[in-house]
Amino acid sequence: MNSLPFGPGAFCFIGLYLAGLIGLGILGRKASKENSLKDFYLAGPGIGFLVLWFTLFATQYSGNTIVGFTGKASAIGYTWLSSVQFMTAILVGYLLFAPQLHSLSKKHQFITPTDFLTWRYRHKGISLLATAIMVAALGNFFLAQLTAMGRAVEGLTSLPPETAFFWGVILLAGIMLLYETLGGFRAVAWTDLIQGGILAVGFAVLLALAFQTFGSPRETTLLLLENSPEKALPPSGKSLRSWISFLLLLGIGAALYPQAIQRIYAAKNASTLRKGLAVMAFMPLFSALVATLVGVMVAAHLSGQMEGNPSDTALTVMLREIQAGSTFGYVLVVIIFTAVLGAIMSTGDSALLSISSMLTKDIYAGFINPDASEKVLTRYGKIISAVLVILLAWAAIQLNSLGEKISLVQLLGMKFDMLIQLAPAFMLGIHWKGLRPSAVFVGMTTGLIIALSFFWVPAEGAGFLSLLKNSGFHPGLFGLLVNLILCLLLSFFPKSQSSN
Amino acid sequence: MKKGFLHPWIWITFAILFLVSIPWYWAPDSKAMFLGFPLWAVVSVFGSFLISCFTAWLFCRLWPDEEEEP
Repeated sequence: MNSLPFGPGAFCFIGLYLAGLIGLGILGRKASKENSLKDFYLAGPGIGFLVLWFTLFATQYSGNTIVGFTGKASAIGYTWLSSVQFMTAILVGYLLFAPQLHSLSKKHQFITPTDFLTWRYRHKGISLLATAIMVAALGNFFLAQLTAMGRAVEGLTSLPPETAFFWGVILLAGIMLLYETLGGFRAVAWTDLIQGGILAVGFAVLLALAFQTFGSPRETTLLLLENSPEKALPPSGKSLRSWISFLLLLGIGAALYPQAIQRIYAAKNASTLRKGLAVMAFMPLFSALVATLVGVMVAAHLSGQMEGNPSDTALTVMLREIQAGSTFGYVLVVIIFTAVLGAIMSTGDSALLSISSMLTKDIYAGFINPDASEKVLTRYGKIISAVLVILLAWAAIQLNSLGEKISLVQLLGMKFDMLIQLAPAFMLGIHWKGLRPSAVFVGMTTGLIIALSFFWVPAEGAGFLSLLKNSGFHPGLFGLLVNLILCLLLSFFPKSQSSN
Repeated sequence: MKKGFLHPWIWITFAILFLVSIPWYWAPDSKAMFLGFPLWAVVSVFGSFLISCFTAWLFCRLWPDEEEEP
């Protein structure tokens, strides 16, 4: 088993950190000004630059960035530098709609992404389908964070893996639910300040440790060229197509993450938002780049220890090497581990809060009880969060006991194919008055069906669809292409289409 | 500036920067190195840095004025 047995000191440090999160939850509750959805889900009038920057950073960079990206880089080498570009491409995606959406959200008091869609299209089908897509995508994402929590504790102790996983999920998800229920978005954003800070320190420490342990980059590159040249040579063919595909999929799809859209809403004003986004444009160079370089070094120097293990254990393998070296190394490993924990929880709590807001406001208030008061809705939001945590924690534990060791990066892939189908509705519709609601609905539905149906296309087949599946391009892009064409054609269609 | 980030020159610039950063034009067996890293990787990361700079500049300098609602 890959584990990092920590001593009492390390557990005290981590325990203090977790207690601090609960403390911030209590402070968040005390700072609450009113019992309303806006106050609970967006911190009322909004958040300033520093909090916005750190919450964007901590939300966007999950445990997947440190653990999954390192693992992917150890598997495919320098080609994973595509991660630096696709994480930057997300900020490029914001250029297409963030300024306008922020302005509209302040005027019309949007709480959820669907609020914009409802205001713009007044089409129940669009609102319902978009909410379903976002909830499904985020649910998948939250499940991945819960799984990561369990794996983190598995690697932390020498308990039997299933036991460690079980208690890891229960304990960490329980703490997350507690501070979120107490303080809502304020607690999430303030804990992101700490978690983002530890994450930044973690990345810096990780890079320094990696260079200290493995020596110069030249040694790493030469070792790879000798033993695994495909990890050092330029990508070509399918790898290159995959690079381009990730750029498009993440640049458009990840910009439409519901919790990211809600941070656009939550920025106090336009000046705060543009400064926050400008700084975020450089974050991939301090995070994705670090994770990739570390993974490459593991591939070059620890390939023997990686054999037979899933790729997302690359970081643990490296940290074990460092921890055994010295007390200082041990301390630094504890910091990195805490950073990983912080990254997972900061991403998980944002996803949970966002799902809760959509189920409460868009589904419950939108379709079931439109006359419910703000106080009732806020209470329901907290109940829904608790139910979600219980259900998905159970799912994470069940999947784990089935022996499904799903790589974090594989779990990441599914949701963007769905989210990207929202692109015309947001990015086109916010600029083009002529985009018809019915066109958006037909395009979104068709794109989603196309993207998801590729799941059943056999990878080994000789047909055209199998060829597309193996092309290196993500199914979501094929769906988006058809989606976009339908949006354009049906909007220019001469007969008027009545909206719902 | 009502058009904000929709000006064609912005997206042409991005296209050029991404074309430089994506390593499609390197020979598959290129082993050239720079500062210990594969040269193609250095160029790719530098290109990413330029994309970050351009994006940040756009946010800071060309944030669009409020426009009428669709």
